[in-house]
Amino acid sequence: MSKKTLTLMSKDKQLFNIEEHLAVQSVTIRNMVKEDGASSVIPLPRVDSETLALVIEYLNRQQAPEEDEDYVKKFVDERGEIPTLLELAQAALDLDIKKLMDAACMKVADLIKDFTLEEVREALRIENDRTPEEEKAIRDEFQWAF
Amino acid sequence: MTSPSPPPPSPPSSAGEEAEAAHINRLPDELLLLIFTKLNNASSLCVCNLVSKRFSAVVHQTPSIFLAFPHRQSNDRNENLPKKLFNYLSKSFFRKPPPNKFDGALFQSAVDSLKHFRNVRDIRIELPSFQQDDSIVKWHAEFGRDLNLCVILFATSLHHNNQTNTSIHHQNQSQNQNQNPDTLLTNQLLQSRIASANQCFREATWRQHVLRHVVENHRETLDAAEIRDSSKKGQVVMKGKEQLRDLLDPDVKLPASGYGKLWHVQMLRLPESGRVLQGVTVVAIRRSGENEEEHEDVGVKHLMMKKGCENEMEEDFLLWEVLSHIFQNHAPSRTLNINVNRR
Repeated sequence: MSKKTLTLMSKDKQLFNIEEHLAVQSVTIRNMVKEDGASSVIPLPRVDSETLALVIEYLNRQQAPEEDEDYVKKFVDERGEIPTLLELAQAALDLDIKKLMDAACMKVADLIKDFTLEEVREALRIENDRTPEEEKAIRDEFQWAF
Repeated sequence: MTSPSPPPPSPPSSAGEEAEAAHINRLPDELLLLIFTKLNNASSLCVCNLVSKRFSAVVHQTPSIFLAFPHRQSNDRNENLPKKLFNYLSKSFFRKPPPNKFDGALFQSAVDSLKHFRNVRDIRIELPSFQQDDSIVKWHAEFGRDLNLCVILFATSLHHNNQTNTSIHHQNQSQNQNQNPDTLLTNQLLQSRIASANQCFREATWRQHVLRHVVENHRETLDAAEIRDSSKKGQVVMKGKEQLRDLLDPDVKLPASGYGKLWHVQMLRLPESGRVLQGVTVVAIRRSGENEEEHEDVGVKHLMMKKGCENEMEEDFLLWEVLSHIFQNHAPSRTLNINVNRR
């Protein structure tokens, strides 16, 4: 029996094939398949091709259930760059793949947990939108943490 | 983590930089909150709180918080800080703050800063251990409408049955390695263990005050609160809306008197974990009202049943294993009269 294949399309219009029984680990895809058989291409307008390739790699993993947790951890560990992890988490959210989303967010949290304020801003590329006075007031209140 | 990911081959255009900058700004709150939830640590969350206004708004939704205090080596600034604030935490019968270099005022401000976390359901606090007695293995305290007791387990030594040298030998610096540990309950040992047990009990009571303060700030949302020490020896847990409500109920008064019992066994072999303990003392102290009759086991069985139902045995497995063994096979060696207010 030949396995049914689905085609996913990234934001930049690249196509990726994946066997349906693996793709339905994504709740979003599972629901689409249930509704209309999802015979045509499934567009993922917020996921770029690099990230989608990673997601496909993740979905294609062939791990025994008891090793799966370690695999997922290792999978995100190897993509230890914060921007990649955030893209991955975003894709996992859109596709509703809870395990991958949890693991990616956990890894980001691990990476930033010992960062100073400036390091967090730099790593996540956030601009400070408070005045020095506002910032000082908060710093004083949370003095114990700094 | 200081360098950004490699830029695309073409020279970075300003548009590209903008897209990069927009990165986390387009990250949905849901994901940001998930990251903060995984972060869990109160001091890291306080750093994130300062990052930007949007971060603040999301940080304060974090449902579960772990506060380790002091989080970094706080310098010797405690001398200058007013002790007044701390006394406010422990205003009733327990007036003196715990010993050591514990910065009560800073701890108070750390506890107070938790009130910004409006949706928190679960707060865990970790403090340095205040107990000097190395023979304390574990202690557990439980407070509530129907149960007010503290159980303390002491052992002179503790090791695995089948491993002699690589044993988890209890860190007892004062003990001479070449000497057989004295496992007899001498008068001196008895006195020192009773004194340490009382100290544990007072510390448990102090922690309960801290928890009351925490719970007051989160009465709508909180499901569980606990304080443990960094050595993982002792914990005070408050779990479930009912217990937390009792904690705030002014009608639920802590009885001023209590009683305790002490069990001593020279050697205890535990079949399940394969551990061997020597010079084992268990002290259970219970606060009790005037009309309450004394329990043979001070209510420890009730506590164990309750914990068993909540499936919490794993945390303190050794303690529960010792207790169930001792209560099956041994009668208490001493009954203690405790005036819980006395220092």
